[in-house]
Amino acid sequence: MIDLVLFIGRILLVALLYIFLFVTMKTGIGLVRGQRKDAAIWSIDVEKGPRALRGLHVDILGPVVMGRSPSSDIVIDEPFVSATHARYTLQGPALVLEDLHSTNGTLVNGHPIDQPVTLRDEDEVQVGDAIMRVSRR
Amino acid sequence: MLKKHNNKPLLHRNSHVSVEPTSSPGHDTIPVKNRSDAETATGSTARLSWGVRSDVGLVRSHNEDSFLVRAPLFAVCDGMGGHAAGEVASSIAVQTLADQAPLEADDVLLGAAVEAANAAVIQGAAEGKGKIGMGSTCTCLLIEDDRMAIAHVGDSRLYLLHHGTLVRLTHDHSYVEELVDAGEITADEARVHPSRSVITRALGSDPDMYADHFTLNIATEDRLILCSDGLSSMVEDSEIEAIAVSSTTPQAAADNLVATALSAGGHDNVTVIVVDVIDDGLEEQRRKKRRRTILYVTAVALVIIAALVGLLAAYVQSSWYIADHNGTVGIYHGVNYTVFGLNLSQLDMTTTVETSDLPQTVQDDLDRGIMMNSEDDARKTIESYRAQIDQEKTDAAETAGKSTEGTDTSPDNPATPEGNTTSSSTSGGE
Repeated sequence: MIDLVLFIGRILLVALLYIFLFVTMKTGIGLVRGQRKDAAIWSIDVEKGPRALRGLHVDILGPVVMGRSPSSDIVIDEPFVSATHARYTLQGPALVLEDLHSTNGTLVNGHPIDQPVTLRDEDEVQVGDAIMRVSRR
Repeated sequence: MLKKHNNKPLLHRNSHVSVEPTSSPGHDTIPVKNRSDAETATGSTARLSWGVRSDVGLVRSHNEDSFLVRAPLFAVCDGMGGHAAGEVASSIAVQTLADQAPLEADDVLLGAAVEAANAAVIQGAAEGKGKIGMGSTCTCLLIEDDRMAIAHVGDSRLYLLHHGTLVRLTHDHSYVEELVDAGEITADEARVHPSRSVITRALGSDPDMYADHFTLNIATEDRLILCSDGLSSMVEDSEIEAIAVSSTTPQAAADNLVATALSAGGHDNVTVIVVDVIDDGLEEQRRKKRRRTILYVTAVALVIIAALVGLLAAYVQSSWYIADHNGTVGIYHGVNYTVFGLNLSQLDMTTTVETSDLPQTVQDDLDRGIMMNSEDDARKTIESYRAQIDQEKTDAAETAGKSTEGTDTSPDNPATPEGNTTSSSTSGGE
């Protein structure tokens, strides 16, 4: 009788082990699935700029900082570009461009910006000599 | 050179843009801030955030549009009838909706509320409020968690901006829409068609009118746009999409849409309600479900463990065994096992039966414990041991007596006088 109880206990332990394995597998699948994100709404293409940046296409999925500093997300290595020059952020569905108090300013469609602006499809952003085109999916 | 970080740069994480962003320069729009004859409303709850702008337009003298913002219920009514009667009709409709709308996202009940608004407008006209023949469109939505109920009549529209793509959810009840459906004109031609303002269904004319109603799923980050035809007749859907996706807050979106309608001509009253879904509640539901599952599994596991322990206890309680106890045979209650340092047996009684007197095989068995069916069995077995031992002792004594008779010169019984031998033999013979 005691042996039977111990046997049942053993079976239960094995069952528990399998349940644990199953849950782990499910969690793993969930993690993999969670990583598959929708494509970005906004992206920018570099139209004119230093050779290293030419033809660059960046999907904006989070904040993107431009500047001369190597820690910037997009490094524009030009003399007229500040260390951290400007930043793209997503606010709601909108793409916002903010000048980070750069020395020579940031131009949108040829106009310097003095406060954050929401960008539209086909807008032209100029930082130093680099010109970027905003596009929406 | 491009460096792509998976994480947001630490330096900039908390420095959120504090200034409200403006529209990018280079696009001509009419400023809507500080316009007279305009109404705005902004607000938010934990789940929703909204912004409203209602403008008289550049041509009309009265704003006949009415809107209702009573989260999670939103409605736009575009009145008609001329000489202020449209305002009366749309405000009656909004009032009735506010009173009659259901509390949960049930599109049938919401449709019934719109039909009640229809009856109220007809009754209002009969009672002399406004004018006979006044009417109103009505488009309303009710949001609950990740679902929304929609009911609409007329040509006020509801758009959904989902992940940067605009979808029109309602189907206008208008003459041009029927022409478009029939394939006679295109959607672009409909915007400039001479009969574009003829609507085929509205509140206030037919007592048997029914409202279109349906339910849709929504997700976090969706943006809903309710508008009167002052926007949709002036601005193309693709332009509405471009403006809606380029606005940060719902109020900014409403303002920008109205500004675009005004710069396109502003021929009619423009009313825009923009609602952002901040949280569709799915995450919370998932959390609740997970918590319930964990609770359920734990309960089942506890019940199984309790059943096992109970079974074991019952078994231990009903079993007996005999085993060695400090050289004598003892009767034990329970089973001869130790589980996690817990001894599953206790000594019930000791006996005077010495284990050393028992045969070697029985001694070995006693070391492990001999299972008994009951306490009586245990006693009986011990009695039989005792009898067996006594029997053996008697036999041994007899054998000893006999051997004494046979061997006179044994060390135990040294040679003795005749009388002694006789007495010993007499005692042995007893």
